[in-house]
Amino acid sequence: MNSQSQILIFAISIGVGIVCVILMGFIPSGLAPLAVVFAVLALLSSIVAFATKDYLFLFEPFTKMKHMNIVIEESDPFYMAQSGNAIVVRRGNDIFATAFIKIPIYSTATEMDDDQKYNFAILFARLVSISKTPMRLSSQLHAINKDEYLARINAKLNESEGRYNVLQGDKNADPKALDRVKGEVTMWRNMLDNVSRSNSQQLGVYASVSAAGNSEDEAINMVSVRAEEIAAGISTTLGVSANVMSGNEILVFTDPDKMIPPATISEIMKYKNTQAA
Amino acid sequence: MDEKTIVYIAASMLLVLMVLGSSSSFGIFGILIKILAVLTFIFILLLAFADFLLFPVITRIFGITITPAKNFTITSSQDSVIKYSNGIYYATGYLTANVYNYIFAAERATDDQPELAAAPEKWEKAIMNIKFPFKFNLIAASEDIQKYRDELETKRGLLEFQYSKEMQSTNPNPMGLENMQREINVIQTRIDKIGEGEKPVNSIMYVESTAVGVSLKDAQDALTNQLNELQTIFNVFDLSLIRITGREVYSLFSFNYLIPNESELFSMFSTQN
Repeated sequence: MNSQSQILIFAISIGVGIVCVILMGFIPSGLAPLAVVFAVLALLSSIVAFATKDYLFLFEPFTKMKHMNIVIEESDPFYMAQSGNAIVVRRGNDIFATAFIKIPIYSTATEMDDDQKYNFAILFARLVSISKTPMRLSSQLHAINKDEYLARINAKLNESEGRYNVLQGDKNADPKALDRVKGEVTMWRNMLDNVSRSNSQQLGVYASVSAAGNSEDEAINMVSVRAEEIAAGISTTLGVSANVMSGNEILVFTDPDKMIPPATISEIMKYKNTQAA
Repeated sequence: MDEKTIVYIAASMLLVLMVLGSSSSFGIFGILIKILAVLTFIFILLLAFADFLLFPVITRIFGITITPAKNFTITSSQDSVIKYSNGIYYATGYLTANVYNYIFAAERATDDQPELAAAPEKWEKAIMNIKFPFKFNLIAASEDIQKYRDELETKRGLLEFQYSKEMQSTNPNPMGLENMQREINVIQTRIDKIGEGEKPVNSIMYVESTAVGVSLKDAQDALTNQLNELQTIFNVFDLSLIRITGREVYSLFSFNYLIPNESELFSMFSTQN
């Protein structure tokens, strides 16, 4: 609901309340219980009028509440734009698009002297003021989906184990070559153990910005222009190549399943249990 | 308190007062109306200044849950958003991250260089100590410089007038004068900073974390632990970190997908900012 509906509902509530108070004035003292009814209506109207300020978004869903569950939206919170460079959100008749800009920062404070650290802090403070429309700057620590990486290590391990077995079966094999392949097998096995045991995380820094439009295309075009402007501003300010994200890259920052991929849950739980102990 | 809140409170309270005024001629029923009016008065005040306490109490008593989107649920305790997917519960919660305002720091025209230089290292150390997913968010929009400067100059002019009036009075209050002088200094510092090229910015900061569990309780407990840990870790940044409850949980959930315009954004956080 927009601000016009907000003002309308507020005015209607106040109006109903005033009418109830006026009617109370005409009630003779013999019909006092009726006055209580009107008073309750007027007081409820005053609460409704005030609630329109912050709780308007719940008014309509509240009237359709089932089994003590207020459903604000039945569809997914967003869907990916066909171009893949933004997500689209529908709120009633309004259409919005949100774009995400990746900010790749590779420098670390441990490699900076005090002046560089100060300058970096100042640059980051400047970054905050590059947009007049609200922009969200986020830093997200999320689990890395290591499934693919583990499969690659496993393949390498199987391949080196195969070579080791072949060499072991060969009587004329060079002992040095056998040792080398044995070392390789140990290396891959250790790597597999370490990678699967540890909780691997990644820190991503990004900005996001939204735009409204009368149609999906208009919203996407507007947000794309805005995102490119912000990306250019970030690149100039921080000296990095900020670029607009697309496809699955976006999902890591919007979807809890992608933030914590199912494959990594056992690791996180293991960490949680260690903490609890 | 912003102008909008004042208008809403004034109109609602006026209605309550009208009911109170009309109740005198109904004897015992009049007393009942008066009691109801006083209760409504208190309810509206609570809704205006402590809705983050009141709203979760109501939803918890009636066991009301909110579905903000498909597969997501805001629990009746109004402190987390739950996603159930493939047999796993994902619980997401939020913390405020407000910078404490120090009047003495606001009076200083120059930046605190050692403190700023220490910030990147503090951030990296904090990140190294966090072993679970989290997100630090800052929503910012720069203000119109000229408009902001005009507002500051008007405010400074008013304070200077009050200051000189107090000085000319027969019995000036030294404490009041000192306070006014300090406020003038803060405004002057802001004007000077704009003159040096700094842009005025409106901002909201919050921290978000997601926990997983095989049951709802498991995920919620893990989330509480994670948020407590984040509160401890981010204390080094001199931030006020409080767990967000109530309607703002829904607002922050929707910010992941849509950032509203400036006026909507700042009206949402007028109380629990």
